[in-house]
Amino acid sequence: MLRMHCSRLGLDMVVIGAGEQWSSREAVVIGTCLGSCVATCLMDRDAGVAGMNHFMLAAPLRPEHFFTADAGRFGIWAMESLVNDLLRLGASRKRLCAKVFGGANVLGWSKEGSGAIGQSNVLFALECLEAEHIPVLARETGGSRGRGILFNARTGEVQVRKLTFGGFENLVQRERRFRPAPHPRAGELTVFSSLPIADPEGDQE
Amino acid sequence: MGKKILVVDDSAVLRASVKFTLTSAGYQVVEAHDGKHALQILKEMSLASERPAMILSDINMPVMDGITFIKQVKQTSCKFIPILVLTTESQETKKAEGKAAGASGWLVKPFREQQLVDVVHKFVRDGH
Repeated sequence: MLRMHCSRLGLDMVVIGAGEQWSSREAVVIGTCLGSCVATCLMDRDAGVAGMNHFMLAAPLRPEHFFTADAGRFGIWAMESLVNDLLRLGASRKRLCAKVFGGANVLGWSKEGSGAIGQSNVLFALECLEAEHIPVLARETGGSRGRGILFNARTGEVQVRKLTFGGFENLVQRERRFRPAPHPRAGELTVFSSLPIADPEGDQE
Repeated sequence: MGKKILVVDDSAVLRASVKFTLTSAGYQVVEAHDGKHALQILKEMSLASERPAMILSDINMPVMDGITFIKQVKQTSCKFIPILVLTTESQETKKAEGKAAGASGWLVKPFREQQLVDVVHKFVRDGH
């Protein structure tokens, strides 16, 4: 994650990479570059809160396995984590709306991969948003070229730029190396010691 | 018929994911979308002389958050039901809040399916 001032836009800009997210109440621009990954921009305009994630599933999935296969858990986490951040900043779940970008067929060039991962990522994001009743106001997805995204967290406007081949090639290399890893404490279990040993009223089903 | 597990989470996607995992492992899952809804379900189950074998609850939820929900459960006849917190929060201060409220355990998302099943088995079978 990188924070800088963008003189062209006259605003601070936060650049996120794969597996990262940013949420804010400030007038900032959130930027990222996408190949087969997907960025979901969420906003509650009434509360003046917005955020964006950038994620990729661990493997292509069929839609019926999105919420049940292990490969989907990083995507579920990415979406939930962003929603939670916005709620903490004062957003209302009922007022959230979304814009979705990315999911290009760029890893289709690799020997081991197919273009399906980009499509899977997009469908996954859309399925999640539908299940959570979050309306999608706009999307720019699919195709064969990467995208640069600039999301104005204050206005909700998004500028999308198709990447030229040079920057695009670097992006593909980065995505091939990327392995979803949400945070080091994921899956950490703590069992508290102050547990009641048994229910004196007995077990019931 | 498998034992009932009450899953409390405002995310429909999370509930669907956990439900699939636990029903595949032989449990019945009852869903609630926030703490207030979960308390209502527990009340209805009590009236039918039922009780879940375990409760899995998120922390960050609208209407009634997980910590408040756990505190409320501990004031009822359901206080002996083990409550495992499933959350993206991993800070020690948050965990301490959960422990003080009466949670039995804390599992940081995302977790593997088998990990969840193992933990639920342990709590339900060992009578934690």
